[in-house]
Amino acid sequence: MQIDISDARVSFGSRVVFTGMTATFESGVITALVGPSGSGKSTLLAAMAGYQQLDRGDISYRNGERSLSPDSGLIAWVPQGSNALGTRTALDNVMIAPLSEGRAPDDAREVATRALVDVGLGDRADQRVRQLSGGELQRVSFARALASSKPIIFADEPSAGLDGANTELLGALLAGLSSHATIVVATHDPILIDAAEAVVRLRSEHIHAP
Amino acid sequence: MHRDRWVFPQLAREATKNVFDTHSRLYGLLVVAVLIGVAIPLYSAWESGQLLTQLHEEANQGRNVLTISALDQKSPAEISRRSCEGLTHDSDVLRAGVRESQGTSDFSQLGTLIPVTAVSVTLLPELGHYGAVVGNAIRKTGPPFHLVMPDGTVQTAAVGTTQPDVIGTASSVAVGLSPDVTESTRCFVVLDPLARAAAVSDRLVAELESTGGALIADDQFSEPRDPIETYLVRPDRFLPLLLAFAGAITAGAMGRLRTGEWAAYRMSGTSSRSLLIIQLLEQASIAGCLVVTASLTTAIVWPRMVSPLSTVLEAVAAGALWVVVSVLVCIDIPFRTPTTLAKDR
Repeated sequence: MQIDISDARVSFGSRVVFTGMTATFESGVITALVGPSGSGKSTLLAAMAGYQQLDRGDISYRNGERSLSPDSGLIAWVPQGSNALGTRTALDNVMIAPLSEGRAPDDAREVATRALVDVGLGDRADQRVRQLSGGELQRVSFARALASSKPIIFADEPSAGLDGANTELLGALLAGLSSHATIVVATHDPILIDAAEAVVRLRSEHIHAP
Repeated sequence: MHRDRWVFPQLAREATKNVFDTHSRLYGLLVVAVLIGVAIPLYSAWESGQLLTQLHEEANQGRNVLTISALDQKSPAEISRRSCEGLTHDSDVLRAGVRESQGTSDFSQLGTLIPVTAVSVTLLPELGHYGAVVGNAIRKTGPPFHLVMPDGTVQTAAVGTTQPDVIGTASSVAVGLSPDVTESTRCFVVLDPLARAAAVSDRLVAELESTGGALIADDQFSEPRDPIETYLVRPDRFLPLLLAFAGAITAGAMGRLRTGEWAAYRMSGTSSRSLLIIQLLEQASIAGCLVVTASLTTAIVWPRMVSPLSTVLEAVAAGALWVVVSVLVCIDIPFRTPTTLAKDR
């Protein structure tokens, strides 16, 4: 599913976060949304998910000839930091996604296990999440997104708080993903930018000087 | 609004795993709820014990013992013995009957000038087992013995249990009332300790058959504060709700600290509605444990309670309060955007 942004502008009160933003996120492609801290990457992701109203411009999803308005129900998120059910197992955490889509428990377990294997955590499935490292936790978040059948995955600063080695691992994971989803990774980390297939920059002309 | 396809059994499974896993944050709260569930009936039993002890002591002083006799001594009334003894069948009455003084007699085993009283067996049930009941102010409590009566006959006798002063058997030898006695000027009624004398006395008077003047029921015991009234309006009766409220506020506060967990659900496709159901089921599970524990504890200690059903209902109310308050404290969380929840972690 392709995401088209046309002349988008978002402001909070008198503070303009970005303006004149036009971009396309290709279907089935991993795209890095790049910009410095505070440039509005998270706000743009929220707008693309339909959580944030635009002051101006338009965002639409395109699936073949069909054009859709932003719909949070089509999106799986990989948040920055450790948003997880800390006392539950990695498998339980990943199973949430397929279960929320109405899959039967056995089916959900199978999908979740496969997703954990895809992110290199197949052997940690029964480990409680709070016993995992920060990098492993971020991979659990990716596994949860992959285990959903959502056509769009948004990852918001997934390397935030990770050391170099774990960021390398995350980059390798992104580069090796065989997902059909449109994946947008908001980041300013060069390793993740290199791992992406395309890059969309929040350029300085998009960002309103304070 | 975004909808998901969670099925209810899986939402319930999520909630129970979040609560009953011994490693979960909510497990401590579950333990607190169970302790509250145990504490409510135990405290109620202790309160009941205090009340019953007070009622017992006051009963011995004459509380809830009615003497029904003529309203105006110038218009004497004769009460049918049968109707007086028949009051025993009333649900608020423990014992009822008539008493006739038979003067004093000398007993070789007890002393001289001992008052002798003829009493209905329905008023002094020990007379159903023994020919005479000796007041415990005359002889120390002990095993049944043979008492030589003034007329030379020998009766099996026992020392009576403590009776209200109004009945007047503590300092006399009580014997069974002759069947020839069919009327009396007074009818003595011992009410259930939990009965309200003021509320039942008119009804009991109305049930009596009498001739002559009007009757009145007199409760000679007077206490400035009725212990039952005091019990019913005691501030402690709100303790179960107070404990549940405190637990619910704690549960709500913990819920607000779990935004990372809620974000994980919402970012994986869980709708606001399903997240609200998970929260509701979590708190309902905890509150349910409170109610079940309180009910089980009540089942164990109910003989020591004045009103076991009230205690169970109090626990149910406490459980309901727990669910409502804890969910209300976090009511905004399911409706926040996943990204906001993730940032608030």
